Amino acid sequence: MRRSPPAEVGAASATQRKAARGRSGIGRLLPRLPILGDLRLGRRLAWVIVLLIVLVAAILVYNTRAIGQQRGSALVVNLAARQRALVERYTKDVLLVVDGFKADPRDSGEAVRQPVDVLLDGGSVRAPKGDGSRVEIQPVRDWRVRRKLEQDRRLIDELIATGDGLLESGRADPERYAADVTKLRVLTAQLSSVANDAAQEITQQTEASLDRLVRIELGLGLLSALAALAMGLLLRRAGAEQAAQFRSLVNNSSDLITVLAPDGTIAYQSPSVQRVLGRRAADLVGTPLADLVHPDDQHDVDGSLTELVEAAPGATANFACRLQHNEGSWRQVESTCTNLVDDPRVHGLVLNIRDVTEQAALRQSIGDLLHNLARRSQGLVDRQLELIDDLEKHEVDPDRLQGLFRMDHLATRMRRNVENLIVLSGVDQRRRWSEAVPLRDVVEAAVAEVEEYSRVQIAGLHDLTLAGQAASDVAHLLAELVENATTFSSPTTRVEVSGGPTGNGYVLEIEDHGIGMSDAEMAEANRRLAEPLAADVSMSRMMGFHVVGRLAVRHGIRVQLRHCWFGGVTALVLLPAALLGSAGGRPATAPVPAGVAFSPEPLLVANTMKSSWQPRAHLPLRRHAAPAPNRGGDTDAAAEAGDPVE
Amino acid sequence: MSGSGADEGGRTWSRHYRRPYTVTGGRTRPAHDDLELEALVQTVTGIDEQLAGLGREQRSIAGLCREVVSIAEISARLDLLLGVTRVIVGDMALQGVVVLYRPQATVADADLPPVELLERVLHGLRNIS
Repeated sequence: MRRSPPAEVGAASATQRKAARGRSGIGRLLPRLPILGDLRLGRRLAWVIVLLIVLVAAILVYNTRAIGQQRGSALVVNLAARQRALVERYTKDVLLVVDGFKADPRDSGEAVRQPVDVLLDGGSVRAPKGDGSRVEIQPVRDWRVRRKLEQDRRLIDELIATGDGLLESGRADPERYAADVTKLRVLTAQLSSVANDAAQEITQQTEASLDRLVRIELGLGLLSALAALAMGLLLRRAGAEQAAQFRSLVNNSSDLITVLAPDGTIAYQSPSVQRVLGRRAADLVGTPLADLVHPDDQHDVDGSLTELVEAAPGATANFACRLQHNEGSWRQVESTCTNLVDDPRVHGLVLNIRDVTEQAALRQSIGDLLHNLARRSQGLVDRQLELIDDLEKHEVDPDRLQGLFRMDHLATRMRRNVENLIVLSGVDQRRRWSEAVPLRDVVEAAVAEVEEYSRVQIAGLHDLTLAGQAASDVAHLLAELVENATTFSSPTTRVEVSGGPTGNGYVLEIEDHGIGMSDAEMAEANRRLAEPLAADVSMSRMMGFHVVGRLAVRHGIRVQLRHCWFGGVTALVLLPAALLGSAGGRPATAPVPAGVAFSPEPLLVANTMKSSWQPRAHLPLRRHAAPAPNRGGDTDAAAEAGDPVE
Repeated sequence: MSGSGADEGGRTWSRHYRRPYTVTGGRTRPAHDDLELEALVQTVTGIDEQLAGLGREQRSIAGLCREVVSIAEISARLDLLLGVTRVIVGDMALQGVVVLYRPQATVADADLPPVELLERVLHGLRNIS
């Protein structure tokens, strides 16, 4: 919780005034958006104040009761009476001894002196109370009481001295005896009055101090109540200030904050919409968001929002769309949307909308630039490859052919990079190839694009064809995965590419015998494969994954990395049935006819792989003995390969 | 080669994207030194059982060489590079899939007819046609 120091109070109140003025504009909407006022702070504050007041009240009640008891007992105490009795006893004892009777005036003298001495020395005395019990008299600290007590002691000393004199001289000198007796009586009387005064004084002091105590406690109670109130006000003000700051942030942010009611109408719109879309926030409230969205984006936005409303509370979704400016132009925006339908304070979807028109334009122009440069390089590399083709055709000398092969390999890898750049530029490429290509050729082309191609072994692929427009992309996608496999495994091991039909397409497996990946790395890699990002700097560092992700999305291909049971990593590539065809007009090896729509469900490896995965469990052992798991398909291929002869 | 998909420029996707160096794993030197282009190749009869374990080019060559064919002819008919064909055929011969009939090069150089004689024969042949 924030607390404003006193120096800031002025500023805070100024902010508050400003906020109060602002309330005339946005304030009308605020009740619809209580999220902006910090209610929780206020509620907590109320609890603190109530607790404080209860505490103070309890202390007051307890203390008042205690004071009442003390006061009652204080009144009962009558020191004076006690002293008088003691003094009279002493006088009587003295006179009795003088008259020849048996008594102990010393003892009674001590009894007179003792309580006063104790009180003056700072001790406490237990005095008899009216009801027979005793009450403790606290040590005397008040100077007025002390003075009375000291006077009292002097008189007592004098009394005892007179008594001692009397005891000494006895009745021998009648005059002196008479004088001493008289003095004794006078002193007794004086003592009585002084003791009365002292007792009265003590009582008065006690009562006064009790009164003071009550006043102090009352004052304390009041003070604490006031403090609690002041703190409450301060916190309230801090809360208001916070709300004002937040509101000002919302008002001045370049992002739009929109709250959508579950029916799709705008329940709250931050005023920054004036800057972004040239519209007044108040005009938009109550109108459907769909009115602003570009007709082409309508479907996507509807889909995202519907999905979000049905998702768990607090779920978020992102979408990009175009919104119409008041002047008719379109602004490209990105929105982060949070489902707060179940939140009673919002009861809607909160959209954080950012205007990315300039960014989109910039990205577009960078993409165009990238595309143009890559296209030029592509043309040059293609020509270079044609030239190399011609040279290779007539070359018989093994050494020169070796050199040509090296050049060929470099140029092929260059072409792969260039074509990847074209993919990443985001510009849709002209479809160059229309007719279906044998899947095996695509895989071989992919292998040719990899640096360590000689380590790659292609094992029994089915006799299928791939749609021509996807052939290059699939080849590059496979090349990235094979490259990854060769890079992260020992140069002495092989990387195997194999395939098998599944219910909704064909799965290619790229298997390496490397050290594998940790679970975390694999999860990260799979995440990146599933969500290809827009072109940026980080992309150039991890081009491979982005390329794979982009290419996969473009053709509805699913790619997943898995741990290999004997170590290493298996990359699974699920080619959708829509891309596949059967070679030579024969039915596809896959049990599902080509053309069946690719199911958008996540790749359920456990199920879809069952048919092809099980027999492959023994593959490494079997490969050398009889590497023909798909003999039927291979024989077909052989027969077909022999066609040109006939 | 079983490429398909004719398109612009008459080149197929496969010819464009498949590279010859992958066929031999980059090797250019045949197992037999200086395997002659005119050497004849014939598939061993009854070898069909083993064909399944071979690569695509090897199977094509085995299919083609049921009759005796020269290496140069294999290269031309299967659209394979000469250098690559030589390496593959050499390997297949080592594996016992094909038999090679190499020209008799064991004749001593001194026994060969002089170059002038051969040139005269060549002229004579040209004059005939």
